[in-house]
Amino acid sequence: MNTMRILGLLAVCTAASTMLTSVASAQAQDPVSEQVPEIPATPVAVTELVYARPFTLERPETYWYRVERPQYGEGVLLVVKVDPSIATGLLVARQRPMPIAYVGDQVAQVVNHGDVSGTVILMVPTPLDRLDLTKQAIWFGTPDIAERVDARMIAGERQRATDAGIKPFARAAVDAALAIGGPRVDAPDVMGLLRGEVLDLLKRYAPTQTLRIESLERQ
Amino acid sequence: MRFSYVWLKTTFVAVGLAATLAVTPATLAAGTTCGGLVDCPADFDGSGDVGFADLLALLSAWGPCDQGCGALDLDGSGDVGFADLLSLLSAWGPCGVTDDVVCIEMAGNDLAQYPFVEFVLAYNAGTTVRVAIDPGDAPAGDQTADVYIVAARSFAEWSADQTLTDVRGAPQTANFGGGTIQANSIALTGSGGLSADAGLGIGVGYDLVADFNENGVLDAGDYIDGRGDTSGFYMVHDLVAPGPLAVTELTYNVPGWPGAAGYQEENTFYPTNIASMGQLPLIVMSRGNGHNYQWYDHLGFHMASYGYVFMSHDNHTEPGVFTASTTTLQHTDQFLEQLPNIAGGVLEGHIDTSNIVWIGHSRGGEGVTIAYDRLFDGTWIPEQYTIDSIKLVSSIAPTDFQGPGQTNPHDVNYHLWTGGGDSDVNGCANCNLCQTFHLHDRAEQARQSISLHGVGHGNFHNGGGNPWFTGPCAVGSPDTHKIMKGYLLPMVKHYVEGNIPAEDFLWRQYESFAPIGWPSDNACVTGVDLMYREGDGDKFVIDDFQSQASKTISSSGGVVVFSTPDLSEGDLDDANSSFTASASDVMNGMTVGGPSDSTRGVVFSWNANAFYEQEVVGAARDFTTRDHLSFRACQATRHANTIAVLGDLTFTVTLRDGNGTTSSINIGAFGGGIEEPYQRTGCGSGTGWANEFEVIRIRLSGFEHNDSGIDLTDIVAVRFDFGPAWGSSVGRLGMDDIELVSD
Repeated sequence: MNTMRILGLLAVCTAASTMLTSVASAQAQDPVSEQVPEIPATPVAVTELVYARPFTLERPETYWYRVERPQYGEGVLLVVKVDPSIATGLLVARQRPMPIAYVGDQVAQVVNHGDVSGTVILMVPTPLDRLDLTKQAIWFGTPDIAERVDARMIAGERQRATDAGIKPFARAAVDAALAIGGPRVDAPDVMGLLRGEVLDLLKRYAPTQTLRIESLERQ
Repeated sequence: MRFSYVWLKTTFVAVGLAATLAVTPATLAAGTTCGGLVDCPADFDGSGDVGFADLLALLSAWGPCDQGCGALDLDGSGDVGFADLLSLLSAWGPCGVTDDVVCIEMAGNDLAQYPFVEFVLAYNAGTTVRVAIDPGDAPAGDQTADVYIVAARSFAEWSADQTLTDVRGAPQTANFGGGTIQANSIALTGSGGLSADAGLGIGVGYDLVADFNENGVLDAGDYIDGRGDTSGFYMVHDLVAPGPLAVTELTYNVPGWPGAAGYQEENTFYPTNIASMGQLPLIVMSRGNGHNYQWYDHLGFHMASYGYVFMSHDNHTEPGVFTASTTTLQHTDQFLEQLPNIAGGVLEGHIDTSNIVWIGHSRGGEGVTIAYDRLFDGTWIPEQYTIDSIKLVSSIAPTDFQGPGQTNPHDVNYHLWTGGGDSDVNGCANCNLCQTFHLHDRAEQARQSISLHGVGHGNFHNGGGNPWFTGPCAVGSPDTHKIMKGYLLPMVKHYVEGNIPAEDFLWRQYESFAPIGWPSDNACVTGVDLMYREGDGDKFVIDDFQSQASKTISSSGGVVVFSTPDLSEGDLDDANSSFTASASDVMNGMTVGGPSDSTRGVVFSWNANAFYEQEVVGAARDFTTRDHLSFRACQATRHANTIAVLGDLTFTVTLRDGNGTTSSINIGAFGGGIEEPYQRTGCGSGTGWANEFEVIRIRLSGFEHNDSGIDLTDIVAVRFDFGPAWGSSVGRLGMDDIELVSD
């Protein structure tokens, strides 16, 4: 087991511990008085790149998370972390606009909730050879719904992130994440990707999302 | 007993005999007959003659009566055949009148103040039914009658059989010679024990007869409530309790469908014995963001136990509401297409694809509305159903991301749930997309909303977790679900099946009439506001404030006069971003319209006696052609007058005829009044959440009670009187949609 894998496991343990503590805390509260923090000011940088793995789809799929709805057949799965102190406000599922996840020039699909653990699985429909994570930052931008985001808005959000000092990860961090992710996964279609690698990631990084896990296991 | 007022007072029109037997309003007097009993068993549709519709009905039932033929088997031979056809043809043409009876509303409840009796259609089981006859309607001669509660008969059945049989075992003698309606209101012994076992229905129908000649037969001079196909009254069972059918639940992946990957699962509930049933209406449930499609089992089990198929699908809400709408459209189509592959095809052939209800929660609640808009615009063409299949769209705490251009119910029957304590789609003035009422007010036809104080966003589903609730006195999820079940069932029954007693639940004040299983023991269930507006049926809009900007002209062209000192007309949209009281924000707390909407109304205050009066124009002055005066009103949040008398606000509605005669009814007579805003803080300074409109419907015949002298054929003004002489001493009110409507 190499160092990065050990670090990854530690991260998982830490996340799980934080999660359990939070769950226990939530259960102790009167649900009626349970309050949800406001959305933190954006842009918000991710604090750690945990995992990165490219994928291909034999059958391209529509990407619903931006207004152009492009087809995609390649992309990258990422696991990132955000500051746990703002994770709930940033990531808890709301009906109202939520901070949009961006990776460089692309909107990223947030696969899990992550509001308890601060660990977020992202799916980016951009080939790895066009997604240099040492040059393209990962952040959460202005709250909205992703289906309304277009290229012009992405450019604006990217500028805001740059202005806020959000920077891409260093080469070492990117390489470490790619090493943890491993080689490219080839799936027949997005459903195959979900049932395979994404399901594994959920089990590893978002094990409390049992309904989602069970659902994918059934499909 | 929901005979149209038309039927009671202008006679015969409803039975198609106007040409031969009509009387003019001027000749109307107490005891006017309603067309009499017609010896016309082949008049199956009750049209007053035997014609092609009756012939078609008979031919459609041709053959053995394996499933029962009812009145169609004219000779009672056990089949519909040539003898029945010959009977029908021999009776072809207008029905002959053999006897005259009086069709009149008699089933009612006592009220503590004028009009002292409200005539109603639905009673909860266990309630004592009262029979009442206004002195002006009582017979001139013998005023003692045997009162019968008869198992409901249709028009044709009454024509065929006038024998009176009381379901209690014996009739009850009553005298209607009192000088007031309250003196002529008599409790019907044993009526509280009448069966309400309606099976899959809502209520059991009964007809009410006052047999004045006490001969045990409905004939000349007798009074009847329920002469037509609508019964005199209905005993309604506990609508919160499960229905009679066992339910089977399925969770599966829609087979063979590429769709939105990862969002193909469905959770379906259906009657276990569906194989022996016909085609059942379909209810499609679309979850909200971060919710799970399996969190609506409380609704699924309930509706399936009453004969519906309830399919809750995973919903692609994460990208947004338009994508969610696509999921609703796809799942509805795919569910129907894949029926042969779901659970071995158990549902195949048992879905009525012409009767579909869409329900959505939060983003999904907006999604179902957008889905309908896409059908309406023709930008989505379904394969397994049509736009006409969608009988009702219901949104639970919906967002409004897309505004009137896309998030628009158009002409579909629309319903809205709003939680006053919702901390997500919170309704605050600073968040237009969080204001649920926008969707309701965009609906162009029948629409209703139910606002619940003390309920959070997450209380509507069954997934537990954070209730997304902020505010005082939490109702909690279990009791929220009881309220949902108790109102969803009659609402769906009303729109899908035309169920008659169900409609009462959509508009009667909850303080006096709510489903039996209602959580009355929950001290926090104190604020329930029902809005209800019918579609473009038989109604006349006195003023909806849409087409005349002037404060002194109504949308129907009548003159408006008022003494309320600060009256304003305008968009029902808070002008700033808070609910803080402000003299410059006259529409403070209004959230029924957004910046792109144009829903208008009027607001005003009073600190002493004051009035607001609408002239009634032209032919609309004949109020006997309709049944109710209807309007919606709300209190203004955080206003000093609202705070001063925090509670239900009351005032008095007065009709004035061409002779200057007036008759007045205080809205508090029917229980409650206009509810105060939910006492929640935030969204600026002060206490009180968004203004919640509720409907007030007053039966027009009530204005005649106790010989008021009002001439309902010539009403020249509808007047609203406020102040200490008329109700709440002070107040601030929003008002809209003043209409005359029919049952």
